[in-house]
This record gives sequence, structure tokens and C-alpha cells, in this order.
Amino acid sequence: MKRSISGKQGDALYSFVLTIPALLLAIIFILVPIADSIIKSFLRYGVKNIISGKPGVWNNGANYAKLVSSGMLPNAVRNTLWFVAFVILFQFLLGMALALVLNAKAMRGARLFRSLMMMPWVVPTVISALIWMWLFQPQYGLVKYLVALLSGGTVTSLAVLNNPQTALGGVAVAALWKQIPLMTLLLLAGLQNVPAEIVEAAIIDGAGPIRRFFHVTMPYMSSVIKVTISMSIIENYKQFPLFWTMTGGGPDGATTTLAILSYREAFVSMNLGSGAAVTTLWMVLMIVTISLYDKVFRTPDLT
Amino acid sequence: MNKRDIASLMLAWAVLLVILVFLLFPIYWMVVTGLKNNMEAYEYPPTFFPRLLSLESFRSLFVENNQFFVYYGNNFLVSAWTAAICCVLAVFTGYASGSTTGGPY
Repeated sequence: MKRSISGKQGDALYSFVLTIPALLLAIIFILVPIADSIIKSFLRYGVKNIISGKPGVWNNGANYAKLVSSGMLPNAVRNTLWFVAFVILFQFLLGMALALVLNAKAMRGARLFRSLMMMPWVVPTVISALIWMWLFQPQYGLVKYLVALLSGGTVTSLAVLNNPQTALGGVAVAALWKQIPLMTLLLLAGLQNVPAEIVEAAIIDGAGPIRRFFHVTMPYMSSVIKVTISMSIIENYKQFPLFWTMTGGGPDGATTTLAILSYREAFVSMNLGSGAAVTTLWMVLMIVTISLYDKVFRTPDLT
Repeated sequence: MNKRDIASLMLAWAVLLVILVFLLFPIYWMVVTGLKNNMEAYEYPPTFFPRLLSLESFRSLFVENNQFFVYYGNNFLVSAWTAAICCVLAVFTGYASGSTTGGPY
């Protein structure tokens, strides 16, 4: 830094210079592709254009019109929202239950269980999809066997992933399995930050465990809960490998989410314009969801 | 310990047990299936512990299918480079946004 530049200006310049590499990468690898994809979504742009290098032709939003009129887009939006809502609800309930149990003072071996329960989180997503496919397998899968055993032999065939009514649920179970550990770990960290004096004061004031949970623990954890849930909203909105490995969007479009639809349109039907249209709407939907969520759950400041 | 404490402790253990079985059993199943021989892996009803422990699957993975180490190497390269590049860039940017005042942040 030259001496002639005054301290504050120099700092600003210095920090700007340090940011340049990251900024460049963000522009090249994030902003440019997004802009490119939005532009392509209004063009007729297929595999021919890639091979011959011809630019796409503007088609007045025909990509969007086709997606809506064929019913593919409403179906994908419904599946995505259902999946996100289902996974997050159960993930939060189970993760919270597990975190509360592991945080309990009387619990012995909590540390051991805490490291054990992180195992599914370390398993790559594709592998977890394969494990659950193996468990759900319609001929010799374990789930079929257990259901047959528990129902006393009344249910003899169970093909979770091949039935349009249960396929989405089957994928959701695999997603839950994969994501509960991280949710639990973050909630556990939040629980440990609830000040012990306040809990003690609540006990002295005669608050029962349920009131303590809702009026002391939850308010102190609200910021942690908010962050974890918005993280898992994003995670599940963009969930691709689980669907692609387990069902590929089938049967009969029952598990076609926005991620699967955009991939299918762009790289299976080889219609990049249409795929880009799905991606654009997907991005808009995600931004709307997250900002709504942000508005609805304003966290109270307790510090 | 009074009765209520014992009841709540038992409830806690039950919750822990159910969720842990859900989280850990698939991993156990993966390992056990890897240790079965091919015939037993496809059997119905499935066996919860291999009748005949067999390392055949692992042997064929390492010996017959030499691609495994190529893939493993690729995996390693991708994660190493990603971690290295991310670290370097994040250190600069993090320092810039954290320690100086009056910058663009």
C-alpha cells in the first residue's frame, strides 16, 4: 500500500483487490450462465444449434406456453413443493426429537450416538439412493419382506418406487435419511446455546417441560431453526441425484420435479430452450419461496 | 429418580432407538450385503446376517475390475483441487470482508 493513499480509502482498495478473484469466478461461473440460460429460455434452441453453431431463434415465450399447456410444468411444481414440504416437516420433527434426546443431561453415551448418527450424512447421495433402491427392491427387497412379515402375509407385493402413489414418498424417505443427521447436528448446536440460567429460572418459576420448550428453548433457537430450515428448503428444491438414480422421474411423471423436468427437456429431449425455461421458472420459484419464508419467520432478537 | 423421570428417560431412549435404527440400519445392510455371496444377496426372504461370509465382492472389485482405483483417483483429484481453489479464494475474500473497514461490504 502506498503511503499517499489515506487509511480508509487504502483499506477499501485493498479489500477490493483481494475480492477480485472470487468476484471474477462468481461472474464467469454463476452470473453469466444464469443470464445465458434466461436468454436461451426465450429461444428455439435445440441440439442442431449446438452442432452447427447457429444462434437460436426468438419464439415469443413458446417454450413456457408449451410447458404449461402440456401440464408438465404444473405437475413438476406440484411434485417439487410436495417433496420439499414433506421432507422438511419430517426432517424438522425427527431432527428436533433426536437433538432434544441427545442434549438431555441424563442421557449416557450421547457423544457416541452423536457421531454414529452422522454416518448417513457422509454417504454420497448417489450411494444413498442405491442403498434405498436395494431396500425397496420389489422382488427381494428388505422393505417388502418386513411389510409382509408385519402384516401377517396379507401384503405380498410392494413396489414402493414403481407405484405412482408411493414413489415420491419413497424418494422422500431416502432424502430424510440423508439429511436428518445434519439437521440434528445444527439443532443440537443451537440447543447447547440456550443459556442454562434462563432455563433454571423458568424451572424455579414453575414452568413445566412443555412450557419451557415453547417459551424458553424455542425462542432462543429461532435463529438457528430459521437458518437450518432455509438451508434444507434450498437443498430439497434442487434435489436431483436422488430422483435421477431412484426413479428417473417416473413412474408416469409421478416423481418428475423441476430438476428432473429441466434435465429431461434439455438433455433427453434435446431441447435446450425448453430446459432453460424450466430452470428460469425454477429459480424464480425458489427466490419467491425463500423470500416469503424470510418475511413470515422474522426472528425476534434476544441478545 | 421419581416415576416421571424414569418414564421420560425411557421415552427418550425409545425415540433415540427408533431414529438410530432408521439412520444406521441401511448402512448395516449395505455392509452385510457386501459380505454375502452373490446367490445369498438375491435371496428372498433375505438373511439378516450372511450364512457364509464371503469377501468375493471386494476381491472382484479390487482385482478383476481395475477401474476402481482409477475412479478413486479421480474422486481424490476433484476433491483436492476443489478444496485447494476454494480455500485460497475464500481466504482472500474472507480477509477482505472481515478485517477491513470501509470496504465494499
